[in-house]
Amino acid sequence: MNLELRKVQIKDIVFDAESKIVDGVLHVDPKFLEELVLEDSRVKTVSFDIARPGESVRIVPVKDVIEPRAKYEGGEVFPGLFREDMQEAGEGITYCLKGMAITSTGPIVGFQEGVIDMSGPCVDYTIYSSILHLCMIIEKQDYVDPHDHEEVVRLAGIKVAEAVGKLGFDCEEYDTETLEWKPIGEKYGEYPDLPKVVYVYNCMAQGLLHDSYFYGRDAKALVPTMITPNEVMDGAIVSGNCVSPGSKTTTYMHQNNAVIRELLKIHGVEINFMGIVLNPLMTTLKEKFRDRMLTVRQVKMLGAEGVIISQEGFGNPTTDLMIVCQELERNGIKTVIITNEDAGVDGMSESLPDSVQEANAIVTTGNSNATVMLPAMDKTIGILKEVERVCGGNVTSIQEDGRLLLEIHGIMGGHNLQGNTRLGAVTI
Amino acid sequence: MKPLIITNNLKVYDEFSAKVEIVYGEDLSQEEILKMARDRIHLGAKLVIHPMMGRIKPHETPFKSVFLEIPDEREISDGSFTTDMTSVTLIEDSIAETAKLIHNTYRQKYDEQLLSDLSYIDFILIKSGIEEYGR
Repeated sequence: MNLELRKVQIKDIVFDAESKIVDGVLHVDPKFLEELVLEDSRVKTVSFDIARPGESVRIVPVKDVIEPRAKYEGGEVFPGLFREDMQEAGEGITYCLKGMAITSTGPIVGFQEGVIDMSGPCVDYTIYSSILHLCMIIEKQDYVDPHDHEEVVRLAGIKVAEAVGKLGFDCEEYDTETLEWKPIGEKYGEYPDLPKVVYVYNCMAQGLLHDSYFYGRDAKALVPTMITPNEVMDGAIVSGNCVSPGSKTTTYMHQNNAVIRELLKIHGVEINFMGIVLNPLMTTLKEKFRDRMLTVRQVKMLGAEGVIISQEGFGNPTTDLMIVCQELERNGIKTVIITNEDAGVDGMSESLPDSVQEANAIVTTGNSNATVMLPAMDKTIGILKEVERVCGGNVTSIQEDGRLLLEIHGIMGGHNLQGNTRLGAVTI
Repeated sequence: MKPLIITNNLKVYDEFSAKVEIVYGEDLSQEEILKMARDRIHLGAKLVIHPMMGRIKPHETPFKSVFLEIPDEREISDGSFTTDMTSVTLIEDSIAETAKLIHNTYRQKYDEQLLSDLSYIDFILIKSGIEEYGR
């Protein structure tokens, strides 16, 4: 399985009568994109705006962030969402527009979406402040219920990301990265001196705004499943959840999963990266225990000696994290956890709602309750008032002088749980 | 064993009270609900759903619904129920975590729209749990 990523660097975005990429500048015709989104009759209005790094612009509330991509030889880049005859992701040639994202905004069920500032201290917390955003502001028809509303915005973002991604086809300048992935049997014999490592990829599967989509289907219908890095990097997982913006895994974070990136980098040098087990985080305890068993079984089938687990969510997902870690360690498989912490505003409280003694190697992505004062911005894309309702904000968030007091988990990607963040911790 | 929900969310009560036994109290705090669940767990109840369901943190919603299995009359009369230690640990951790986040972070204030949304999300998560429970 070989995936060729053709990365077209985008330096700026402008609105134009014609959609094209010229000298790294993305020209987009907003009418073309509006017509595309309005194909869904559940959309009442849609408009587009542009946010650039360094500008005094705030985007709020952000639902999803998606890197524009398209399959050069046909097929869907986010397979399973629009066509029944889906193809496996992770093979062929995929164009990626780097340095930018399609960013959907607009309140859905009122509260769990995040903030991105394009300048000021927010830049120190989230990688999203450093990329260009083509923002999509969607208003739904009155009759559309919250579930459909989420789907409308999710699918519109994906459609636009694919349409914009296709503009890359005419670009002659791009960087090529080839990701090679061999069958397990072949991989098993390689690098006999290096430890075999598997990545357990936790994803939310619990209900509205708490869901992930794997090949177009709700992850609630999933059991723990072996997957390949190539298919993750090629759009097999799409985000349907907004909850806790700081830690939410956006579609962008799936497409650019930082754990997979790092594991691929040291594969064949420090480790033998054997594969990934995608573990849905379900609601009931009996499903959590079943998924623990199935996850650990698959990790063992992959011959793992070491595992990295990345977290998604807060509260009950910490139990999934801990029970899987405990069972892996009991099976002699060394396990490292990546999670954020909720240690209170002063950082002095117990930071995890669940723990086991076997979880003796944890990498933190920061204390999500720590607060940050963000300066007023000249322009807001979306609705500023929503800050009072987003996760991490409250009715006292907006100061009289326009500044914003926010918990870090209100910032999109503020403590991303695959470690794609500027926050972390060091031992001193 | 039979299911029991303890909740302060009227929408959960309205939607499920015909099917499931529900203890509903509009004025119950999250901590009170968790402690009511804990007391029942020590008397043989078992958690069906993790008491901190979803990703919404306790200081960001007033709603709390806990889904338990409780011993039925036969099990109570013949004393055949046991105390589920997993549930004991989870409920104690959840009580501590909830107290921490409610008392040591900024408090959310809620307008009507937000309350309606939060009530809906709590209901959806319980609904997911009931669907999974029936599998």
